[in-house]
Amino acid sequence: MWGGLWTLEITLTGIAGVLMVGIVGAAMRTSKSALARGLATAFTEFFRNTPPLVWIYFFFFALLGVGIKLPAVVAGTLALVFYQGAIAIEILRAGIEAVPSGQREAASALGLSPFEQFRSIVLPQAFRISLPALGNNLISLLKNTSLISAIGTIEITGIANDIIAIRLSSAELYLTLGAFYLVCVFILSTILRFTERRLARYGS
Amino acid sequence: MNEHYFAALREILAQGLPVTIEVSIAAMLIAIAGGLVLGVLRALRNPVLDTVIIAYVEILRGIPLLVLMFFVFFGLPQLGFHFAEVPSAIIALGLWGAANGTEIVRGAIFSISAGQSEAGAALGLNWLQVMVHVILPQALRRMIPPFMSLFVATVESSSLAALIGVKDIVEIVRLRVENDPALWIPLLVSILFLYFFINYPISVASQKLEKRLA
Repeated sequence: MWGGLWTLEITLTGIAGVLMVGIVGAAMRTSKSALARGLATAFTEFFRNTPPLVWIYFFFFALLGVGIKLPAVVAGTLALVFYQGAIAIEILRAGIEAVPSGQREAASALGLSPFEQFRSIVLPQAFRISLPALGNNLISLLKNTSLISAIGTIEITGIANDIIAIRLSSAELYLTLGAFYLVCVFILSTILRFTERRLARYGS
Repeated sequence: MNEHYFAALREILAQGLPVTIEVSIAAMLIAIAGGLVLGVLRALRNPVLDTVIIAYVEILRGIPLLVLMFFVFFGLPQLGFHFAEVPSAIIALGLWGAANGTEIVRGAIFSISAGQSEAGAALGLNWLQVMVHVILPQALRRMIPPFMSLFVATVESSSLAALIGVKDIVEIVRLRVENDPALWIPLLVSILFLYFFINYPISVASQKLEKRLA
């Protein structure tokens, strides 16, 4: 039971992290500085073309090798935040580019600084445009928290594996586990759809 | 450390890489075949079939692939189905891919304008003829970019097979570092680049193709 709570906690922390990485990265991807654009592009392309499981190993074992010992949950969450964050950057970048350039020009004519333009004019609209794709990315984050079981037994998949090692009733346990994730995915996607509809009120 | 590293790298390239590729391609074939069949069946708009296929797609996409893989490898033997490591990985990845493939095929078919099938029907073609000669030739082109992205996701996800004991790229790294933990960093960085060099060209080609078809 506690495993389920950990799964939810990792997911919620992860969502905050993914949104942060996504917003900062997408701002860099669409900025005027070639250096910022290049860095953000390299980050996105490298992370999203490599397996999240390998990143989890990297943040856990590789950092251990150089003397940085992260708890399994922290290493796993960080790895997933970077992996799903890279995908979020790509999604938000497309959203930002879909905001009509007149919006930015109008904001600039009103005397808003570039940061204010991004924060109060471009980003809210880009967010609304990106929300369906962003939501799928967050659902994929929820499912990928199961990968953290590869380095520890805190969240629900790891705990299920432990129980199976003791009692050997794997078929039922994995079915239960599958049902747990289905319910979580259903709840998360309901929340996302509700948010989408709320935001659509301010619609274009 | 240097010779150990190169010995491990050789093993990764000679033994791990072929397994990763084999699992990915086999799973991808199941995904394409399954996706085409289920996607075309969705176009029939039969309420019973639709319910069954939607349930399949939603369940397979709603549970983590890792849980599905554990279920196939550890759970199915209890129900009387035994599969070895590699077939289990291929089955789990393939079933998961077929769910995603169904959505790709369905999306592509429904993106072809209704006028096309109406014109086909007006020419006296039946449903199957319209599908085979009018809709699919146009829809297939639109499926190529998303199926390429699915292949990238499949190659990435094939790494999960290591957790049920398939000796793919990741598992060989894990076995090698058991005797020599100093190899963790060099080997992990090496395989990150290895995956990147397989996937990046496919991602780029998929995006280019998508832009050209748009």
